[in-house]
Amino acid sequence: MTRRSITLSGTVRHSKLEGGFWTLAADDGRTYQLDGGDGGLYHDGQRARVTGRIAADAAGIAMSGDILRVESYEVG
Amino acid sequence: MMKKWMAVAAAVSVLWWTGALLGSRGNEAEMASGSAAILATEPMETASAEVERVPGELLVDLRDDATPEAERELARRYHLTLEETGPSSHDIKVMKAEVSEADEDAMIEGLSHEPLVESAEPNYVYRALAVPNDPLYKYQWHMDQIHGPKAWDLGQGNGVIVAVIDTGVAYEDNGRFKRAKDLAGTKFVAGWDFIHRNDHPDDDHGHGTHVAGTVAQTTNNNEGVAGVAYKAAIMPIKVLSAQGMGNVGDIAEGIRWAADHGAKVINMSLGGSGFSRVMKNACDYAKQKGVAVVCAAGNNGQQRVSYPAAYPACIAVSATRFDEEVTWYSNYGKEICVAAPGGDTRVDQNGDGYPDGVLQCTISRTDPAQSSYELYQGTSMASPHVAGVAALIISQGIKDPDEVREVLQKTARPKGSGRGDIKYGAGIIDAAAAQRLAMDRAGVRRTLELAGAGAVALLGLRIAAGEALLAGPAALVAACGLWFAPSGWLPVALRHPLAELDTWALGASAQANPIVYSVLLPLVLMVLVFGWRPGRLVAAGLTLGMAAALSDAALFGSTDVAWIPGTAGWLDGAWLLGNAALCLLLARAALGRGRKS
Repeated sequence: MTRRSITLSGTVRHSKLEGGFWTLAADDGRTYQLDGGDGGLYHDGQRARVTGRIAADAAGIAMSGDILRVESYEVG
Repeated sequence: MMKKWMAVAAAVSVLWWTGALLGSRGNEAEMASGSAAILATEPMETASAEVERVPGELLVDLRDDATPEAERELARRYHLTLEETGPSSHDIKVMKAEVSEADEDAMIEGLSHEPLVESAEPNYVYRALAVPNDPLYKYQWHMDQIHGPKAWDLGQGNGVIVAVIDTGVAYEDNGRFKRAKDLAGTKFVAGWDFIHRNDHPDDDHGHGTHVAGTVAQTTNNNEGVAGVAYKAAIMPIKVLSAQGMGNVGDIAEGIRWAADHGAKVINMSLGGSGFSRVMKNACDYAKQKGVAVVCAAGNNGQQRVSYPAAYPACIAVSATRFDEEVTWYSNYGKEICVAAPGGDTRVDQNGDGYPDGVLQCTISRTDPAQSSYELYQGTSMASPHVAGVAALIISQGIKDPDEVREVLQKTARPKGSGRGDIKYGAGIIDAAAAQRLAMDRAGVRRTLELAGAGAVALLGLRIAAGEALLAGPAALVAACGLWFAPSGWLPVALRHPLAELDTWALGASAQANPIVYSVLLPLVLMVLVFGWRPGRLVAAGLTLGMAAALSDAALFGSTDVAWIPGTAGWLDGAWLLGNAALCLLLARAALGRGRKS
């Protein structure tokens, strides 16, 4: 069950929890765990506008907010 | 009197080894029938490690009047360098010598016959507690926080299967995958990969292997680090991808699979924020089947426990750091059951030169064939400490998941506002206190059962005091084990009922061995010693104890006997109780014959 696409602005962060994973600290104050996209997105501290779907039926090691399946992104 | 006690010892050892031999045959058949296969085993532990031999080191006690010349001559002949052992050795002449491990015994033999030498022996290190010899153990502050060494004097989780539902485990050599270096001696049972749909749940991430290491890292192998329940067996269940993510459907299937294949503990260091009926039902199912389900509280640092930890069937675990404060990232809330070390790599509070993470052996993120000792932090690291302690509790004979939870909470060290703190739950887990309480509870229960069995068997029989003196202790050994002995006095196996010898001899199995769990071993022993009265009395006692142990397994153990249809159903109960009755008849016959009329 995936919901409709949303677009979020925020800062890409590398979390040092659980051996490491990537999040988007969104400007709405929430944290999303990022899944998908390519290497261009994954730079710690990079500003980005990410379009994707929240995977409501997903779970994982991060346990740090909803999982956002990246469909497209713009950096800067 | 001396003769009688020798008879007791002889009878116990005969029964023990007969059982071990018969038991191993039974297990081969079990593996062939496709039930939980043991992929790796380790020899039976004979004693908790209190005294340890330093390999390649001898202590040589020279005669006090030995001259320096004579000493040098001796050293030259044996190609030894004799070192003084300390400031006082000048007077008492105890010297230390380095030898190759292979020559140790020959060297002791030779030196012992030298006129100059009073004694030569291996250098033993006497230790108060079972502190592991693993070289990186000193960086595992988290094992000390839960009182690991004190706990390992009482047991190490033998016979319990812990399912690690995660990214897989580096448990085998398979193509590009390699077994992690410090899982070399860890026991594994067959698992499943729900991502690739096959029976090779190898780890392509690293998280699951780290978590499995906390539960049952190979310990006392002079390599790496230690695990909490290092004699427990790991069942690897892969439900998360190489990115550490998975879906609720696969996870729920993984939970059911583990419960159906003999896991007694499930560790889930994973979560999501959404409630799922499918996952909740799977957790309920596992608990109903007698599985303790332990879950990480989540890493948002908020007052909101993530799922599955927040489901009522699960034991939710928050994470502490070295100074016992709950970490900045740990979720909390009323669902928290207990707290355990999760680490904080932003600080080095213990001053050991490394960040205060949880240290275990896992695989490199870039190459699954490379083992690596890594400091992780997260509630995922806290959860397997609790899963390990749950395995220790269960191995002592507490089987009901609610009672496992109760023992964890009763023995936790309260923090914060007390037993029901929103961050710590009942407190920080204490492996030693939990195991002691579990042992005492199971021991009291079994002793009462034995008393019942004894009363039934002796009904209508007059038994002389001398007979009771022989039969009584034997019955206690068989029914309960010497559970009340102080820490470190006894091999762990002797603290358990004799019927459990199949797990001690063969390692973890989901099923009880029907040869051991029957009247057969007492019967064999009885036939061997029947003509000899003291032996017959001891055998009668052991038989009586076996009757009590079989009843205990039927009534409290939800025991699944191999080869018998159904899983821990009424047929298993009938087998166990039927054999208990046969044991009572056998004991009664033996005591009857021994009675003077």
